[in-house]
Amino acid sequence: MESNKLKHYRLLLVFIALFSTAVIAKPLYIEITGGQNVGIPIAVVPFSSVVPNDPIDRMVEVENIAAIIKNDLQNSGHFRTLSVANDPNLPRSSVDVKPGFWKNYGAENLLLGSIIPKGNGVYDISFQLIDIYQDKQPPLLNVRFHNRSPSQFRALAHYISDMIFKKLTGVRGFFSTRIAYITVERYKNETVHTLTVADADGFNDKPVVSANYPLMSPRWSPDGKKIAFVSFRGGRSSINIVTLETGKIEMITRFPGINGAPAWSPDGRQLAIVLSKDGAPKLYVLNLISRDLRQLTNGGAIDTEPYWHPDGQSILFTSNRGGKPQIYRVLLQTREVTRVTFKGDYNVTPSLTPDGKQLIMLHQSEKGAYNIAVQDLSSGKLRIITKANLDESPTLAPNGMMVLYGTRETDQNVLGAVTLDGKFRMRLPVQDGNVKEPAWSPFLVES
Amino acid sequence: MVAVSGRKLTVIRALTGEINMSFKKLATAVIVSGVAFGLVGCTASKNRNASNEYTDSNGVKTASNFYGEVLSPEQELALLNQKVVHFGFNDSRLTTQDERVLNVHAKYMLDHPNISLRIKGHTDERGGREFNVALGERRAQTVGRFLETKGVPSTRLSEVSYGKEQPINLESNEVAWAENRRAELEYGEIG
Repeated sequence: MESNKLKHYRLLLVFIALFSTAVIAKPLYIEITGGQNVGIPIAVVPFSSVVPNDPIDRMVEVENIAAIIKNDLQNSGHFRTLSVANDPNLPRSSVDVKPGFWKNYGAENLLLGSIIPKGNGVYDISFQLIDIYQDKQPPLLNVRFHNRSPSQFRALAHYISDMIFKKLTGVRGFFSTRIAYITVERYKNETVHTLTVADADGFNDKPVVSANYPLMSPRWSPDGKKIAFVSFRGGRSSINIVTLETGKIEMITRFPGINGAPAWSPDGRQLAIVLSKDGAPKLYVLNLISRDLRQLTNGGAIDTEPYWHPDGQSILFTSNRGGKPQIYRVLLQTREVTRVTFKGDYNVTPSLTPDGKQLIMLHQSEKGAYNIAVQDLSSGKLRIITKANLDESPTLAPNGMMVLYGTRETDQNVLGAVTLDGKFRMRLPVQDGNVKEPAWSPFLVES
Repeated sequence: MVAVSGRKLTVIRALTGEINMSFKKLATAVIVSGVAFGLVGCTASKNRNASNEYTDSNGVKTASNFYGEVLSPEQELALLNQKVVHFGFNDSRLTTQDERVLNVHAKYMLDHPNISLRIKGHTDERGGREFNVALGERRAQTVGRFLETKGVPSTRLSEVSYGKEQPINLESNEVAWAENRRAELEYGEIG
């Protein structure tokens, strides 16, 4: 039965691929591969419903809010979530909490919640975050959301995760953000490339653009509403922008040679791009409103992969002007170029933490492996935070605490995720396919 | 599973017309070059006399032949059928053997003024994707500039780099990498 279903699914995929109207996105699966036992211990109690005779499907949703929050916190790498089985004797509010029990259980924090039916298919959702070691104090968080429908529960769960993360770490959470990635499916006669967008936890995956030619280098606009990407439609490269709400694609440049590596300015008005129309690949800045194109770097070397400094005043980029590829920085006003990386013979794909203090890049280690590395810009100290042989395409969560990247396994390309300290790691494959080039969205929801 | 809220993303159809057209163009190119290969032996023999002197298109006899070596029509055809040249790691230089292959293609293009050539540069899977696009373009450009030094007008040449996006060997080892570091020659018709 199951295999039959799978077969139909495959047939459907082939059918769709043949007629070039691919609508199937590939969901990501998440598997923790290291560092489960680090982080702040928190017990997440299944949310209760005050109506005893809820239908079964409602119960599934009731449990899922807590499950989504637990999953978010665990996969952030900054929490150790303790399993709590559903039990009628579980506490329903802070007054029922017996601190001794939870201390023995190893929890420092406890999350309680409930879902209260208000009729007409809407619910109030309330939750309390309790510090077990300060049980005489009011809860750290005590919040009630009014009149939410079940279709909003998942987004609300991520929002609650963000509130808990902020309260306990002091840093804004990334649970309400999204990611883009490109899947590659190879069939006998063609290869289908699909730019896909999903929630940060891999759910709600939706295909955005699908093609039988390569798609590359997706980058979110700062408002999270558009994605710039490179297409090889018609056997030539072009830079395009797709509006997520409408699906409308606008071609931005299609000069002879390379049109690549788009990067949005922090204000979203300009796009740094790479063009080789006059010979070597060089950095340009395109004003998206006036369409004014300004060349930023010169010379016969390869300059590529621009990344805007968060202050908008300079751009980091990759260049082999010194012989080997290294990271450089160009000031927009003066076009003055300085070199940023010095360790190793291969440093490419720069990005910066939101505070501008740490550089994330692809670095070739002394052993020859291509790994994601972090360089502290004030001390120059470099740390390698991934472990495979062929890692690439690092993209930083908007809070700067986790890196998502592409990595090569024996038979497939998968995504990996690692906290900036390198302690917690995850593997994110898609089923029966390849996934590459992740791009993390900016913050999308007001906090 | 929990019902889903949030923005619906519209699915874009890949533009079928455009894709099919490019495949048609490709097919035309293959047929055109196939026909041309059938003729190339006799084209070459027409231009060459028994003593291996080369006659250029103006009928002027030159002292050495075009290739700098003596090639039989069969050797020439074999080299012309080779439409891929390979490169070393992080390298875009041509080997002597690559130059032998490209000499024959240059000659073929000079003999067939209505043929254009698309040179597609590729890299292996190691390293950054956009940097590999730049490396692949270097490879395509090296081939293009070599053909230009042999007299092929740049207007009949175009170059594109796919970086590491179109491997021909999907494995992850030295053999696969060597196969994937390549420039491919794709003939088409001008216009």
